Amino acid sequence: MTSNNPFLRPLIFGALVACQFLLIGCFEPSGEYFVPKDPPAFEDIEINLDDDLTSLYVFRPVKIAYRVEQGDYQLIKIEGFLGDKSIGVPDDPTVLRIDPALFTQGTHVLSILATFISYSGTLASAHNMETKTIKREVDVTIDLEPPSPISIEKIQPRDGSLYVTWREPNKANFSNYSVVRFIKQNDDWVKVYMPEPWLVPAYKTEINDSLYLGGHVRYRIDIIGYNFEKEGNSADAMFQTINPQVEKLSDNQVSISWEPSLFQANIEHLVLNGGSNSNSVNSDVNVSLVRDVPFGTFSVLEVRPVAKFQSASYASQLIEYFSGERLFFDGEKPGLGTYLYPYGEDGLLPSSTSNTQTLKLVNLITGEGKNIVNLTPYYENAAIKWAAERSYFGSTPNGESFFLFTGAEVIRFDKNINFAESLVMPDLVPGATVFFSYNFRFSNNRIAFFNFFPGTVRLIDFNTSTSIAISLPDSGGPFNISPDGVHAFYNQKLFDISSGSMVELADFTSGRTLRDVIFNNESDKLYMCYSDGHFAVVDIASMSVVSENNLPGVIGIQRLVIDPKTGICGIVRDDDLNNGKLFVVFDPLNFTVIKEVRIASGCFILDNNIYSSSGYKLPL
Amino acid sequence: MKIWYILSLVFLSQILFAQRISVGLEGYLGASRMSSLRTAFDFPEGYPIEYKTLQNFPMRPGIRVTTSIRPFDSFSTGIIFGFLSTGSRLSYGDNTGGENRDVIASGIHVGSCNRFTLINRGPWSFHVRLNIGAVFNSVEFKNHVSLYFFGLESTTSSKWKSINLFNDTGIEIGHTIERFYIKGLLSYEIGSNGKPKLKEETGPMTIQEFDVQWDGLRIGIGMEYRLFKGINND
Repeated sequence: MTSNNPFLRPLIFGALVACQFLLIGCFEPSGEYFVPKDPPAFEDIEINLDDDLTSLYVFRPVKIAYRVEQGDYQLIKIEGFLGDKSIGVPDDPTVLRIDPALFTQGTHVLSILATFISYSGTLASAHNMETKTIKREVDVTIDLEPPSPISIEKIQPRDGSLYVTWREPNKANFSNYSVVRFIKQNDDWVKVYMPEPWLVPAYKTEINDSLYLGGHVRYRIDIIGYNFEKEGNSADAMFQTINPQVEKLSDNQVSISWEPSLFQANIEHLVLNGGSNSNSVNSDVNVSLVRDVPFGTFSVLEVRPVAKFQSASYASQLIEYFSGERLFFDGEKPGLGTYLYPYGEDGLLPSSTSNTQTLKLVNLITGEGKNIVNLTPYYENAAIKWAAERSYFGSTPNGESFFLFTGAEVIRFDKNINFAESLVMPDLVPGATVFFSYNFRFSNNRIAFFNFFPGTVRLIDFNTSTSIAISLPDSGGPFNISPDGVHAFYNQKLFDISSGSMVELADFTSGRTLRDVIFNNESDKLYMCYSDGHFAVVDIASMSVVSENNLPGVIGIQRLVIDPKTGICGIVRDDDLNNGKLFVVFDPLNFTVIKEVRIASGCFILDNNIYSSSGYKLPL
Repeated sequence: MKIWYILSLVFLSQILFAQRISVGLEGYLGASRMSSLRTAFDFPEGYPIEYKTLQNFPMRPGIRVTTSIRPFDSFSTGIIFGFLSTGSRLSYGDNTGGENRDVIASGIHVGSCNRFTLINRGPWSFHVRLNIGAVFNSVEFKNHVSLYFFGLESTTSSKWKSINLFNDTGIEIGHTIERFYIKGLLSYEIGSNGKPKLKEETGPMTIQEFDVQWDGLRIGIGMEYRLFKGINND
């Protein structure tokens, strides 16, 4: 400071100025605000493909979208390649789509590149730079081969409806089941189901057919896949709408009852049609009805379910009810014929059916068919055909021979209905004229007593093919012949025919109207039955009435039959009360009435059973 | 053009009174209001990170160089050349990277320095000061982003220029030791608003409208040296 050098001080000053500028300089911002914040861990991101990343089973178009377990990351882009084909969706970069139809059957590798972004609040996320790309590889199995066909396991009623159950198929590569439903109409299976198509989700193995009301039904479970349909195996079932119990209260009265319908959940109510009556009952209640029925026929109660759902189809259930027991011969209903009678102690009866060319011999007691003969060879004769179709048969009481009658020709069969011989009416020329015979009465030695159209009664010995009488007037009232072939009754007179001609033995003409006569099985008694209910027993040996009585309340007698085994008799008479007919069974020895039953068809008695010509049996 | 005319007059006065010429150096701490500049480079609203303002135009040291003449005993006048710089930083950093938003404002003051002596007692004296002139402003905005996670680093900047007038009025107390004059000073600067103009930009940046306002208190010390001795028996 005190130096005399005039340049020293300015130099010092200049140096100070320079130092100041160096020290001050420009403002330099400094420091950093640091927050120890990490980006979220990418390792926690999971790609979920139906929770199964190792393999995919694809059998229909599949859309693959990712879900991120950790919320900080969001998917922004996904790329996928199945084999060498891209499966990206152009309109949506976050979705993949696999159409299995575009790939071959088998396993392919699905490569996935998924890009995620985080908005975690870090600086990098603020600049949309916090992204991560994950690569995954998944085995994809394309399977468009249909499973094995569905077989129905069971069809069973439950909870008031019908349930159909099946097993899962061997593979699950389908989307739906299609239930195909048939009902039986006139022996044909008709496809009836609603809605159409009836599609069931693939996870189900049971359906409830709420349209089922009863009857024959068939189901088929088809499999519907992405590009295939596999038809299942059909299964049938048949359930009655109701399970009726028919109980006999008496010979002419039955009780029909049933418990609530198995399909009550599907049925609004039941309409009952029977005869002229029609009413309805609920389907979920116990029902009990009482119905009258004559012996020898059957009645039908129609039970028609009315569906809760309009689209349901229904089939009426028919309940047959009858008196006694229905006969089946070899599993078939017999066609016994109206005016045929059993012959012999074996209870054999020829049975034929109209418009068939067969003749069956049935055993009423065992229900077995004895034999079946083909009548076709005899049909060359038009008259025989005509007669056969109308059951113009006659039989000896012991059942040893059966005769098929026509005008001039008679075919004899043996006990087993094997052809025995061909006979001819003694006075007629075969084929010349068509006649017919009826009301056959035979003795065991083949003597026949019968009507011959028109207007005569004949007595012919078919053992010798000779006529005993061929022109007896038809106005002679009831006629008959004894089983031993010794006596005949005609025009209220008893004849001895053992000599080959009619020798009158006694005349039983009275003021009463004789309705029918019959010899007993031993041929030693003759039973005469009158229209007023009077019944007389004639002893053949003494040729006199040995007993007679008025059957109680019996009027309008039309026919008299006898049990060839027990000798018990039965008469058919009018039933004015019910506007029908009664069959009264009684003991001819003491006139005791054993049974009285209303009937609807011709009846006969065999071995303590009443048989109707329509195929019913009623024990005495 | 006006400013150059004024500077020429000051220079001529120095020549006329060269026998009482002094040169001086002042150092001071100066505050700056910079009200609009403080928010001109904020992060946009809703920016997802929580940044922090680390520096916000703090009081900064400034320097002035003067040369003056003393035509009268109670008055001196001269020219002044000064420099002051300040700025701000908004910052955020985490393990993924860091981002700084810097503003650097510099002003070069050029003008006339005038001093009126109020009291003079031996070596001690007390003065009133008045500096007026122009400030040549330079403002730089810089945004620096580093994303370590992705190896990304980027800097964008823009530079602005403006000129405004200033008036720095204050008091001064000094002590004379031979040809040296040691002083302490206290003043307050106010200025006009000058419209900044963009001069350079290296990338797209969003900057709000701003002015450069150096207004603020100045407190400092200084020293003068009289170039010629004994002409006026001082």
